[in-house]
Amino acid sequence: MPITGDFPSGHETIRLRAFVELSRCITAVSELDMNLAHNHLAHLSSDPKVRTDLDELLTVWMSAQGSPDEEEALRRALNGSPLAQVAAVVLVLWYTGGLLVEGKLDYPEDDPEPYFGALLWEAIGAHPPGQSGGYFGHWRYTPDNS
Amino acid sequence: MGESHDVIVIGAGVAGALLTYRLRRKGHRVLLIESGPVIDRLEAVKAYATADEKTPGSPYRKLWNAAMRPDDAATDPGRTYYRQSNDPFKSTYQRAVGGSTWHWLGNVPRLVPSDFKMATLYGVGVDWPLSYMDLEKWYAEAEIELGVAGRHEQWDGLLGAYRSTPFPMSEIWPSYSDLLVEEALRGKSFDGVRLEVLRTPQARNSRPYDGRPACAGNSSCVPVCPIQAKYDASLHVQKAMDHGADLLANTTVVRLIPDSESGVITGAEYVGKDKTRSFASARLVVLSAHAIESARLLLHSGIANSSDQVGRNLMDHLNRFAWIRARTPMFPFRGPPTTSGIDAFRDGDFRRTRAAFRLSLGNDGAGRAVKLESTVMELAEKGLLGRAFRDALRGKTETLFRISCSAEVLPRPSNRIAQASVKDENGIPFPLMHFRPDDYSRAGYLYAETVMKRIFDSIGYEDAAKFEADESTFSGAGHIMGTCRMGSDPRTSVVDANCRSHDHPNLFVVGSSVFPTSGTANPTLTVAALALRLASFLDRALAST
Repeated sequence: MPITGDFPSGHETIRLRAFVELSRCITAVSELDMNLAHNHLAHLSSDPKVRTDLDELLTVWMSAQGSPDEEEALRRALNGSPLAQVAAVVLVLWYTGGLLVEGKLDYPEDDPEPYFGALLWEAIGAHPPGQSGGYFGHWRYTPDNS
Repeated sequence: MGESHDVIVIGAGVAGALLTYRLRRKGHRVLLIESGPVIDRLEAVKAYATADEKTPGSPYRKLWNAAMRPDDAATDPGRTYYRQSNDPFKSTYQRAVGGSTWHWLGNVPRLVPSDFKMATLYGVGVDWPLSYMDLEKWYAEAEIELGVAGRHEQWDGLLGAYRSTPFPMSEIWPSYSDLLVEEALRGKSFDGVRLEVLRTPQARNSRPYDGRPACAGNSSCVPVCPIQAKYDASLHVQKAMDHGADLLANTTVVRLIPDSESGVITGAEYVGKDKTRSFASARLVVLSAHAIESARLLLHSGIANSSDQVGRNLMDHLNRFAWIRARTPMFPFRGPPTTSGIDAFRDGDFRRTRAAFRLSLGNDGAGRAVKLESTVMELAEKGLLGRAFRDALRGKTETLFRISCSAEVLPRPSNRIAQASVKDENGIPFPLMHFRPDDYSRAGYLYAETVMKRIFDSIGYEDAAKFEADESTFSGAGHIMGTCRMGSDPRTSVVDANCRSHDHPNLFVVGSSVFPTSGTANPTLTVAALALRLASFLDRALAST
């Protein structure tokens, strides 16, 4: 179902779905954790300015959605736009777990999941420090996804 | 609690924990007093994961009053635990049950025989009042207590360090990059010294041991192991308590009180969490509060310092590192931060004029030089996204490789902790730090960098190898030593070869504070060996009176 531009509070589910689909595109990861997605969206939306910017980004995303190469279409749509910075914030949030604020990362005070669920580690063939999920000696071999 | 014990042990780090455990097993009544709190491991891991900066103190930052915690004091400008002179000191430690072994790396090489005889052999530093062989059996016992993994045939006799027993566990497996480096250096030498890559002995389980699991390569050893595969001294504190030791955590000893005539320490005045003051007495008192706190307490108590050496001869190992982008993937950020090293430069006649050093091969990319999160931000802000972003992130990361050197420091009276004019909440002056390394150490680490360059050349790299630009730049290793050094001469040392104060017959000091020289070994195994040796001595002393 096509997503329209307005996101009144009664349509948060639709907004979440749009955010997830945007996130899949910009992270190049199709299997995203839905709990994290919900938390990231809430984190981004907690600041009114960021929420407004994000909604604009989601509108741009919808215009790119359905293109033969959605990633390229989105990149062209963001080229030269201030919304490119918003996309960068979303990307950094998924890849590090921290919200990029004035050049620094702000992690949620009491929730370790954004850090442990950060996409950075799997992308580089490693694991979050503190949560390897590996067997003794796995570091001797190439990563399973190399 | 004002009742008497046989022994009061002040400081529940690895020295105090082992000592308390061994004395309790012999049936002696022991009171272990620790200024810091008990740490909950899961809460520490959670605090680490939610920290904006993953510093050594990040898991412990919520535990208690920041004004009383030395962790991160040297690196966080907002923290003022250290009062720094114009010569700032750069290493930190933990005040907690288990001490700095919560955030340590876990490397446990032994000192080499020459480290104990620097003055005799090389005309620098001082000699210890005991030899490597005096300590050898205690090294072996310490390796069992901590649970050390290593390869015996690599280390037996290395630089003269005989080993009477094999390691309790076989080695921690090398990393993928260790094996690449080893192959690249096969048959190669530098200045006639073979560049042999050795498996670093580690207090980290290579199999289930002592009720703890094998290492799973969580890579967060510094600052916290989520599963206690890496040894920390809370293990022996718990064992001591299981054997009936009394523990007072969140309790700070503020003064040791001597009898004015005999010099016997009558006991310890302490402040509990509720701020009430109490007094505990014992036949023997052992100070094992690490190099800075032990000196602080002695200085504040005005005792044990007829030599004027308390607080002096402050030592640390000086760390520098360099890194490359190798031509081949090294797959960093997996396994412990380091699993192999080059130990060939830890001794030699060159020590007459320049410091010895140890080289560690890193598994953590470029260490502090390239923070992964910064790479993510940089690529995102360039407008990269999607597949292009992921490919660039991987490409910038998987070839990173660093080598660190850890250079020895000679004892100098001017390197010291003194008493600041500002006092803490218990009325004890904060430590005023003076630490200026000399040309001896600088020459050592600059020479180390020529060796590192040769190693990088053997591996092959893109662009240029990155070294520290400023020759005087170094970081602390967290190996704080020397402030209550042992020696035969009461005029130039604080304790004798049995860690007994020259000035007070029932006062002992144990830990890295008693090291007369630094050598190049991470100090913890030597600390543990000295603690076990002291426990045996105290057991005999208590039994004979």
